[in-house]
Amino acid sequence: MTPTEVLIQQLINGLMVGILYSLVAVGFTLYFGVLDVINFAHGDVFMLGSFMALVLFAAFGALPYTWLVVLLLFVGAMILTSIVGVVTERLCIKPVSQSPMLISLLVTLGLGIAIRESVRLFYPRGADPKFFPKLLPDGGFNIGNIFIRYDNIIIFLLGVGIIIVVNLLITRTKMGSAIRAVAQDKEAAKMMGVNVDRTVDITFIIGSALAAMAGVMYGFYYGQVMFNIGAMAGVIGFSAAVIGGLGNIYGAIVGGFLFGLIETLAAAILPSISLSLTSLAANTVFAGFVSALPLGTENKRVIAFLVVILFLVFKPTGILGEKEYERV
Amino acid sequence: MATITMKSTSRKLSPAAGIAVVLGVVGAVFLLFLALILIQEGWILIAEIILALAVIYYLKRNPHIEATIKTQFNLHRGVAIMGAAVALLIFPFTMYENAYWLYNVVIAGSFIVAALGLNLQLGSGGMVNLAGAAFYGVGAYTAGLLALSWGWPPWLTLLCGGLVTAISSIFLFIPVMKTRGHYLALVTIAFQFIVVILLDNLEFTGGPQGLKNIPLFSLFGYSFNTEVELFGLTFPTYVNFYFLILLMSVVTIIVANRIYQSWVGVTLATIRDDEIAAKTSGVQINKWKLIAFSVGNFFIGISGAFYAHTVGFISPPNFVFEKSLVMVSIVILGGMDNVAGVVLGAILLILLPEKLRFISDYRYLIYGLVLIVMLIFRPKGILPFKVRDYLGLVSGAKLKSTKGGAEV
Repeated sequence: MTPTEVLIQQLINGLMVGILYSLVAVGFTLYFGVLDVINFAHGDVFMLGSFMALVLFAAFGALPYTWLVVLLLFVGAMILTSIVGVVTERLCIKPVSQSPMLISLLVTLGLGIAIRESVRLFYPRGADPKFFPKLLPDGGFNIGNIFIRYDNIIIFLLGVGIIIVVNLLITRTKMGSAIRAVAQDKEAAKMMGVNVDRTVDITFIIGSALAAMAGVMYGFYYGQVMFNIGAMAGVIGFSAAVIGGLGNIYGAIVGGFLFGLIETLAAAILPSISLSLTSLAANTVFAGFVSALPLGTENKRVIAFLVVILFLVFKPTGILGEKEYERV
Repeated sequence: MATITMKSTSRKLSPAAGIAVVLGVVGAVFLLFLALILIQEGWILIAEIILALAVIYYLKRNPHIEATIKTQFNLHRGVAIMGAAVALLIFPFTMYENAYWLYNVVIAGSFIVAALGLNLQLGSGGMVNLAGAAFYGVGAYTAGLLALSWGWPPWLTLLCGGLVTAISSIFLFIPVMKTRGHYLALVTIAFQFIVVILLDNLEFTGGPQGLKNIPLFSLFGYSFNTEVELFGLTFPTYVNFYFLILLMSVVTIIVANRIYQSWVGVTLATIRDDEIAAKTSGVQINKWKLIAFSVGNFFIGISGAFYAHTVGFISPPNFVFEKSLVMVSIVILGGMDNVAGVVLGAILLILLPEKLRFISDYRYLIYGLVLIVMLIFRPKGILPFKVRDYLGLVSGAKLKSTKGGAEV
C-alpha cells in the first residue's frame, strides 16, 4: 500500500469511530443545553445500550430473518436504555441540576460507577469481554488497495440516518422547538407554556437512545464489548462535544468526527515520525532520547487529548460555540 | 459578619469535670474506631453507623450538650490534643495481629496528605482537579525511578517526588489560568488519561509491569521493613510506616491549617467565591491560583512517593481516573475547605470500603450509590465549611487580637 492509500484507509476508520463519538457527543450537548449538567454517566449509558442488545439477542436471536433481529436489537436497546436514562435523570440528575457544578459532576460520575458495576455484577460473567453476534453481512470490496467492508457501510449509513432524523426532530417539530426553548431560557420557555419537566424527560430519552444506538453500532463494529468501555467513551464524547462547542448539536457532530480523525491519523502518522526521527538521531547523542519518546501507535489518544487541551485553552467555546460573555 | 447567630447555651462545668468530658469524648471515639477495625464481622459497621446517626440526632435535639462539649474542648484544648496524641501513639500496638488493617490505616494516612493538597486546589481555590491520581502517580514514579536508577535514599526521593510533582503542574498552568468549571474539569481529565496512557507505554517507566522492588523506607540504616519487638510481642512492619505517615499527616494538617487561617487562605476563598470581586479588590488571581495549584500538587506528589516506598511496587492501574474520583469525593464528602472534614473524609472513604469486604463484590456499586445519596441529601459534606472565626464571635470566646493582613 502506498502512503496515500494508508491515509485513506485510516480516514475511513476515522469516519467510522467518528460517527460513534458523534452520537455520544450529541447526548452531552443536549443535556448541557436543557439542564446545564455534564452527564458523565452518559458513557456508561452507551455501554448499557450494547449490553441491552446482547440481552435481546439472547432472547430473540433465533428469529428466522437476520434483518429482523438486527432491527430488534437496535430498537429494543434504544427503548430499554432510554427508560434507564429517564429514570436516572428523575432520580439523580435533576435533583442536583441547580447545585454547584462539582456536585452534579460527582453525582453523574457516581451514577456511571453504579451502572458499570451493575452490569459487571448482574450480567452473567459480566467482568469478561463479551462477543457480539455477527449479524451484518461479511466481506467487502476493493477500490485499488483500499478494502471497504459491507458492515462498515451499513453502520455508517445508519449513523448518518439517525443524525438526520434527530436533526429533523430538533429543528422541525414542536417537541424540538420546546427543547431549544428550554435550552435557551428555562424561565421564558415556562412562561410560553412549555412543560419544562416533560421536555427534559424527552431530551434524556433522545440522548440515551442515541447513546444506545452508538453502543450497538460499537458492538457490531468491534465484534466485542466489555463492561468498562463506557468510561473512555464518556470522556471522548464530552471532549468531542466541547471541541465542537458545548450546547450546539452540529458542533457535537463535527467534534465527534474531528476526534475520530485526529485519533486515527495520529495512529497512522506516529510510526512514520518515529521511523524518521530514529534514522535522523541514529549514532547521535539523541538516539536514546528518541527511543524513549512516546511515538507508538498506542499513544494515539495522547495526541487526541493534547489537542483537546489546546482547544480548551485557545478556543474554549469550540468550533461552533457561541462567544461567552461575562457579566458582573 | 452581620448575621452570626450566637450559640451560648453551654453549661458551666468545674475544670475537673470539663477535662473528664474531653477525655471521655476522645476515649469513646478511639474505642469505637478500634472496635470498628478489630471486630472482623460486618455487623459492627452497621451498628456503629446506627450509633453515629443516633448520637447526631440526640445532639441536634439537645443543642446545649453539643455546645457544652464544644466549649470544654475550647477550654481544655491542650488536654484534648494530649489525649488524641496518646490514642494515636498506642493505636498501632493494638494491631499486633492485624497487619492488613494497619496497612489500610497507613494508606488512609497517605490519602490525608493527598486530600489536603487537593483541598487547597478544590476546596480553597475552587479549581477542579480530576487528575489527582495522575499527580499522585508522578510523585510515586519519580521516587521509584530515582531510588531504582540512581539509588537515592528514600527520604530524599520523598522530597523530590513532591517537588517534581509541583513542577509538573507547569503543564497545566495555562489551562488553570484560562479555564474553569466544566472546562477545567475536562482539561484535568484529559491530563489524567494522558499520564496513564504514557505510563502504560513508556519504556523507562516499565510499561504495564510498572516498577518493582522499589527500596522501602530506611533511616540511618534502620530498615522500616523489620518487625518491631516490644514487651515480648512482635508487631507488624507497618508500625514503622504508621509513625512516619503519622508525622507526615500531622505536619500537613498543621501546614494546611496555617494556610487556611492565614490571609493566603482568605485570598483563595475570595477567588473561589467570586473571581471578579476578588480581582476588583486587587487580588492577583492567576498568581494565587498557580501557587495553590502547585502547593497542592506538592502534597499529592509527596503522598504518592510515600506510597511507592511503602508498597515497593507501582504500576499504572494504581493511578487511574477512579483514584482521582476517590480523592475528589474525600474532599467534597468530608467538607470543602475544612481541614478536619477532609481528614475525616479520608479516614472514612478509605477504611469503610475495606470494611465492606464481606460484600466485596458489591463494594463499588455501594460506593457509587452512597456517593449519589450523600451528594443529593448532604451536598456540603460531613463537616461543612464554616465562617472563619478570627474574632471569636461564633464560638462566643474572648475577642482575640488580630493581625492586619493587607499585603495581598
